[in-house]
Amino acid sequence: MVAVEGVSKTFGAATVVAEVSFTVAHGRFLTILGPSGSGKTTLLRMIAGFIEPTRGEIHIHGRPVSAVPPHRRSIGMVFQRLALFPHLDAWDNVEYPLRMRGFDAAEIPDRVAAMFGIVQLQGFERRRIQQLSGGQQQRVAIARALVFEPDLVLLDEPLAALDRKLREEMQLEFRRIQQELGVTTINVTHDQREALVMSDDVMVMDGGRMQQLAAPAQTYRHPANAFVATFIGVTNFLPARVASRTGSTLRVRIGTLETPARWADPQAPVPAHDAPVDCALRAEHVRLSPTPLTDTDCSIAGKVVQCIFEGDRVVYEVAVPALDRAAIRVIDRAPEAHLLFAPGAEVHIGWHARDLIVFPR
Amino acid sequence: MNGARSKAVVLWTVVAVNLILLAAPTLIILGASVTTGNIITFPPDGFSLKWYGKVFGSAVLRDAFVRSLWVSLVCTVIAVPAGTLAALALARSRIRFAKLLQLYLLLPFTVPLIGAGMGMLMLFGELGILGELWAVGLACCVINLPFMIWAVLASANALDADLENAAANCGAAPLHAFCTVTLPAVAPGIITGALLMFVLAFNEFLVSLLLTDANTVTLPVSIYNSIRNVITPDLAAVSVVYILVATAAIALLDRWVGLEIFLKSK
Ligand SMILES: Nc1ncnc2c1ncn2[C@@H]1O[C@H](COP(=O)(O)OP(=O)(O)O)[C@@H](O)[C@H]1O
Ligand SMILES: [Mg+2]
Repeated sequence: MVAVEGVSKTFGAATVVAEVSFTVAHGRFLTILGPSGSGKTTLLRMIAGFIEPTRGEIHIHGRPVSAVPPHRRSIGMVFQRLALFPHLDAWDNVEYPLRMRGFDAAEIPDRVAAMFGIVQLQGFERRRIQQLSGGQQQRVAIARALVFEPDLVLLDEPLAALDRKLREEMQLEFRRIQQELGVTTINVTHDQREALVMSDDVMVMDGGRMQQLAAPAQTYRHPANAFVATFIGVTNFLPARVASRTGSTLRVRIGTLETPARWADPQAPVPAHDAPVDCALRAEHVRLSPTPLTDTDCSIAGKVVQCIFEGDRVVYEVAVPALDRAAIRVIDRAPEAHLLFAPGAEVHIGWHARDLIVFPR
Repeated sequence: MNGARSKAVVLWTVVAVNLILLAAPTLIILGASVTTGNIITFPPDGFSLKWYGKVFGSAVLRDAFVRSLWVSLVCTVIAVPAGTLAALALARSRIRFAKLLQLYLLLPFTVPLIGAGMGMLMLFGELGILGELWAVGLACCVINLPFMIWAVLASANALDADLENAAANCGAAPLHAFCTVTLPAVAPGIITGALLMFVLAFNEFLVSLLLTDANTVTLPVSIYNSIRNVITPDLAAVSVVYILVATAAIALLDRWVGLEIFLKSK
């Protein structure tokens, strides 16, 4: 459906997007996830046709589109600041693409009305844009992007400006609409939660480069590299050395602790004995207990340094002498089920070998 | 509580004094125009509209009034496209010398009117258009264009930079997008600027004084010529006509775009 092939963009000496290639199949929802400045908007604008790639080609429906101006591409876009037409009311905003694209005048009112139904904005048709709340404007922008049944919809962080509750509502809402209409969608965000919640596939981007393209659960459980591991979830990073390896099982030495671990990429060759590596350990994979743990692959003593109660979870920072005094972040997701540990409390932490992911340095 | 109260008293006193100072000339002129006497006095002697009758009966003033309207029209008709396009270019494209260009476009503000007037006197003389009424309109347009540009710029700067991209996404070709989205979106600024240009040209005196002759004299110049002889209440009546024109412009503005644009334009 959409194929991006080796696309790069440079502004002067700065390479903003570097050699990005991916495809999105018909009806799929892809999220491009990356920190601010990683080139997401630039990539999206190249697909929309507002910016020309320095190298590479973009195909839509199998046809190269580099020579096709934006208004001839069948792409609906929801902009970061929405870019609704301020001189038109909600209805006329949604109607505009139908008139521009030469839809049969007789069927335009039905289509627009149906769209207002889908985005659940009936009764607001004749409101001026300034008279609508942020969430309602959001819905108008989505309706305007979808009403002409585009081949592809692009979202450039349109939800970023909303407050958290509304944002989470709109994420589910848009996902519902997207599945209802079966429209191919590329969404851009720096919000990892949004990426995991909404998407069929997540592409992680950093410094203009593609870091990983996989299903949400895959990027979460099997991050392709250290960047993905840090960017998605709360992750502890521990410098280590390879202690021994037998087949696919690997043991690493972190400080004075020697423990089994998982090599991130089973395809890649495992480094030699004593080679320096990085271990990623998600905060919610660390278990916390007043007594030594027996059902994990390791158990070490530490002392609680900090305890932050966040309602649905508690975030601890635990100083562990055996790990070169590293402060390990631990997330307890069921805090009411057992006791809270105050700062200064002596605890034991442990984890399963499969949760300690080893990346080459 | 007490402090807040005395602060409010001071504030309101200042506002009241300001309002009185601003309104005083208008009120005095308004009073003087309805006097029954033969000289400008305030408070007026009795009440009559005879000076208004005299103003509307005077062929000289009426012709000057019509000429001023014509000059204002010419000025506005030139200023709207020129100022709008200049403002949009300044607001949107990151032109290399945007700052310099902006300075150049605002230059008329920094040149004293008398200087600008003399420059145009010589230029128009060379071009052989001196004595043409439309040339006076052109001159008014040149010296006041910054107002037009500012008005449109205020509107254009408030727009989303992606507005035309959004129109393109909707299937509008560039020219079409410009006409159906960009222009209507800055319409409040264009209307504001146009009314401003009209009123300014209608009031313009110094440059018109240099550029007009006996056959093309505009209303302000005509009034000035009369003042040099003797100040009679008919001039106060003309001034009231002026005030009415300006009030009409503001009323139209409020009706078409709302006065908020002045309060929130940056
Ligand atoms: N027109 C441009 N000229 C120069 N640099 C640009 C331009 N557009 C974007 N950049 C730079 O490219 C980088 C990526 O920008 P962007 O694609 O907007 O990132 P993101 O959307 O991921 O935050 C930024 O460092 C930005 O400064
Ligand atoms: Mg961006």
